[in-house]
Amino acid sequence: MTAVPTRNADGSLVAWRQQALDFEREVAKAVIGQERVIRLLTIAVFARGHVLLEGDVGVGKTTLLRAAARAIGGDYERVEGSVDLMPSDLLYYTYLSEDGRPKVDPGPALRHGENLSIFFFNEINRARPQVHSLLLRLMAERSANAFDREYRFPYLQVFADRNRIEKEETFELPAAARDRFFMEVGVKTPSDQETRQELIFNQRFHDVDALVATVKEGVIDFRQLPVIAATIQKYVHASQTLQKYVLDLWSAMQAPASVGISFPGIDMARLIRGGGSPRGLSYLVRGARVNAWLQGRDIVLPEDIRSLFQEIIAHRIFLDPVYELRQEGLTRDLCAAIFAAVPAP
Amino acid sequence: MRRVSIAVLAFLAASFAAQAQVQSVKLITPRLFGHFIGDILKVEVDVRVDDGVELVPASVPQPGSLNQWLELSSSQVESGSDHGATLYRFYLSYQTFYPALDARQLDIPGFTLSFKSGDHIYPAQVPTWSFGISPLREVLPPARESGGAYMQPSVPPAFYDTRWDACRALGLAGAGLLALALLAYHLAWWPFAARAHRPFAQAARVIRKDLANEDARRGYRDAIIALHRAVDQTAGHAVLPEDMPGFFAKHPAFARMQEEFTRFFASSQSLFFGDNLVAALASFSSVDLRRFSDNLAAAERSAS
Repeated sequence: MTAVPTRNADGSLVAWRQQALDFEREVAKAVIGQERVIRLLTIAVFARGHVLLEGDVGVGKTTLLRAAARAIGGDYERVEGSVDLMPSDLLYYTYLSEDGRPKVDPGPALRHGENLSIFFFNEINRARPQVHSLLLRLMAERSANAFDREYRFPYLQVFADRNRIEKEETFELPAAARDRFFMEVGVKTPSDQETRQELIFNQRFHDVDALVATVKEGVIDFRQLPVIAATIQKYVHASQTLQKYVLDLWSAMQAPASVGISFPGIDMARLIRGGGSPRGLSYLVRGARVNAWLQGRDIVLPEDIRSLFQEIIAHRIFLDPVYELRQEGLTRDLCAAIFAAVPAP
Repeated sequence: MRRVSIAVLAFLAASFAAQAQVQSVKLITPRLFGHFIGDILKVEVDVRVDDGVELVPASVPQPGSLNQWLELSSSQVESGSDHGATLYRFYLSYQTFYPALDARQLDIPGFTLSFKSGDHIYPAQVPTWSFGISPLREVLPPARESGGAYMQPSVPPAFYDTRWDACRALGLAGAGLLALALLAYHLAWWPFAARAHRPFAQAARVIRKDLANEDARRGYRDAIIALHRAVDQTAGHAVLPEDMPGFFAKHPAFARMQEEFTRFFASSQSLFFGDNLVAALASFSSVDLRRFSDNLAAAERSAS
């Protein structure tokens, strides 16, 4: 195992890694008890992937993203999903100006132009599929058409929150939409008493604006992120053995019974309707490279794959409708079983 | 077995001084009657002499025919200290071939033993003794129809019931085989070599073969994979280095080899994920690998 600089001639990966760790530390000032979430967020930032957030109400998702946006620099925008939201509402809005004439101005997505760094779509499943469509275009192409021109967002990273509690008047993301998200991160309520007490009684956490203001601004230059991400992908090595390991994992995911996985009361031949996608697996390796880099390594290990598998792959596994209601538990068990069954190296 | 003892004090015709040198001659004979042709008569002669007086070996009777019907079949002597004197004990075996027609007394002739002290020779006379011999058959047997009728059947061999001994032998043989099987199981010999819950023993064997491979790089690679699979089998699932604390908690017998495991995994990572054979060998050489696998097999054996 070798340190990062050996594969990157000018050693910039080492300096960037320090920036990444500083970024984590700054975000952790605003959000406590979420170390794992912050690490995943960092990986997503340096892998340039869009993130689906899932979690209870009031656990600090918005605070987390605002803190991240502040640490990265660039502009932050937030949109609330609602049943009457239309795609056009993201692009522009109309109003009557002071002189009484109707006016059209760029909406939340276009307002910041190229500087838009983090776009947070809250409760995405409350919005209609038309809105999802526009969002997917934004995510996939980092561009949108409006006012007879194309707007480009080279540094855009989309975060979307799914409300999993209420089911009425919601539009679940279709499989294709879910597949475009780099990872799905579960933000859970902190479990240890000390953190809980701190969050409830420490006034520091009551004023979100003041809290976010404690985060140092621009720890990383958001304009550099695409270059850093590409460099990481280029210099962190994934060996032939690791490539085979990932392919084996994929095969096992598509046909769990073939590697001897069985769950009581489950027809394993019927369980999986879709087991990941090439894009999903490539995202997995992309994330694993970033994880290795954050650990100070220039080689990807099976541990890197395993540590991100749940977040990157689980939301891409589609089960037979019979087992849909047990999706969460079954996919979690399946992921664990796959790693227990597939040997490495 | 002595049935009759005859003690004879030999007062020899030698000088008075000589008398003092040979203290006594004692003859111990078998029973004096009821002997038959071919019997062996074992006689012991004890001669007690003063210290410093030695036997003249040439005077000891030598085995051989003594007359037509008597043979000295063996003659041995031993000596030892006995209460301030020297005791010579002679073991003589006579065999008689006298075909007696009636019961009668026969003599076994006496002889003279010689002892010396300095230039002096001291004789010791072993006396003649007699024994009773009996015929094997009647002198005038009644007429029989055939000559074969005079022949008496030989004593039938005694019947020994060997069934219990046979059973015991079979039982012991079975116990021996069982013990051997248990030992083979314990040491993971054939046919237990491939049993699933001795993966390290099996791996150690495979690794020895792999490391002997002509293609050293491939052999080393295969050996590391073999050990990985053994760890997986022992754990019951695929094991990554970060799982090792849990592995040691579940299998404490291997916990003392934590440091070797760390080096092994580092080597494996260099080889398989860093594509760096040199670093792998530097971290964990083939010799290390073989020793480690043997140690793991031994720990596995002791833990079971």
